[in-house]
Amino acid sequence: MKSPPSRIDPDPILIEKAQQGDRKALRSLLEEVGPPVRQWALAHTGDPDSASDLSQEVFLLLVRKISSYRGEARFLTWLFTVTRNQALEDTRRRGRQEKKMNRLKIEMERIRETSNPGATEVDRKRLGDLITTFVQELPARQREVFQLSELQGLSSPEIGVILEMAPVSVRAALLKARRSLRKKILEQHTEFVEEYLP
Amino acid sequence: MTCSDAVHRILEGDPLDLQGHGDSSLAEHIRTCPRCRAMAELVLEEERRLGIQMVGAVEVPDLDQLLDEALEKRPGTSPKTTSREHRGLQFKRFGLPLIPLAAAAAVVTLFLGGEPSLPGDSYAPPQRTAGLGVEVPEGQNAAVLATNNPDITVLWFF
Repeated sequence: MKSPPSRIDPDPILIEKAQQGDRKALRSLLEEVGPPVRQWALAHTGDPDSASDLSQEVFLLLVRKISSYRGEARFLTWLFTVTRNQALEDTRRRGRQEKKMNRLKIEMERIRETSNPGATEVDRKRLGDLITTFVQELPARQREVFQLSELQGLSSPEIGVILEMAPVSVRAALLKARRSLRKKILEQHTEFVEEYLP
Repeated sequence: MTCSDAVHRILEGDPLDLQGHGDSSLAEHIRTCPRCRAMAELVLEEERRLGIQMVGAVEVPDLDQLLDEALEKRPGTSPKTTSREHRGLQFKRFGLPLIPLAAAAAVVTLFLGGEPSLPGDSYAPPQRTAGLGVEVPEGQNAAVLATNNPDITVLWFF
C-alpha cells in the first residue's frame, strides 16, 4: 500500500541559490513546485484555462518575491500563501466564468481520451467523472482544502494559515470534501458497497 | 465494527486510518477485513489518480520564457525590456532609430502645420502697464501687468 502524501520542501541550498537570482536554480525550483502549483490553481479556479493563466502568474510572483522567503514556514506553505493572494487578485481582475464550463467539458474529454493508455474506456470515463465531480460539485473552499491536505500533505494549521481559516473549519471542509468524492468513487464500484451505501 | 460501519467511516477517514495504520477502530477493522481493506485502497488510489489528472489538466508553461519575463521585472535587476516590449522594438535591429525619427516627425509637424485653430474665444495676455511707479526691494525685479478689468492691476515681484 502506498504511503500517505507528504510534501517535502525543496532543497534549502536550491532555494538559497534561487534567491540570489541563479537562473538555473530558479528553473529547477519552478520545475519542482510546478505540479502542486498547477494542481492548486485548478482546485482554486475550477477551470483548466484559468488555472493555466493563474499558475503562470504564480510563477512570476514566485521569482519576484522569493527573496522575501525567510524560512520561517515550509516553503510550500509560504508559496501557497503567496499564490492564493495572487489568485484572489486574479479572480477579481478577470471575469472569465462564461468560458469555464465549455472549456472544462473539452478538457475532461481530452483527459478521457489521452490519459492512462492501458486503461479501459470505463476507467477513463470514471476518472473523468471524478474530476468533474471535484470541480463542479465541490465548493471552491472544499476543493482547496482537499488539494492542500490530501494531495499535498499539508496539516490543518498550515492550511488554516494559507486560507485564513481556523483549523477546525479546515477539518470540517476536508471531511465534507472527502465524503463527496469518496461517495462518488464508491458509487462507481458498486461491487464493493451496494449492500452498504444508501 | 461491522463492514457497514467501516464503509461509512471510510467516507471521511484519514488516509493513515484507511491504510490500516494507527489505533483507531477503523484502522483495526481494515487490518483484519480484506474486503474493507480493498475498498480503502481503492479510495486512496483513485484520489491519487485524481491528483495526477489535475496536474495534467493544466497546461505547462514555457519556463524559459517565463523566467525571461520574471527576471526582467524582478526588483533590483537592471531595467531591461520585457519580452513583450522587446518584440515591439525589434526594428532597432535593422538600424532604424525609431525614437529620434518620431521626435523629428513631431517637430516638423509642429512648425509646418501652421497655427492650430482652437475652439473658444482667443485669450489676450495681460499687457505690461507703463507709467505706474513701483518701488522694488534691492535684488528683486517687478512687472506691472494690466488686466481686462481696468480696476485691477497685477504687480509681480520676482
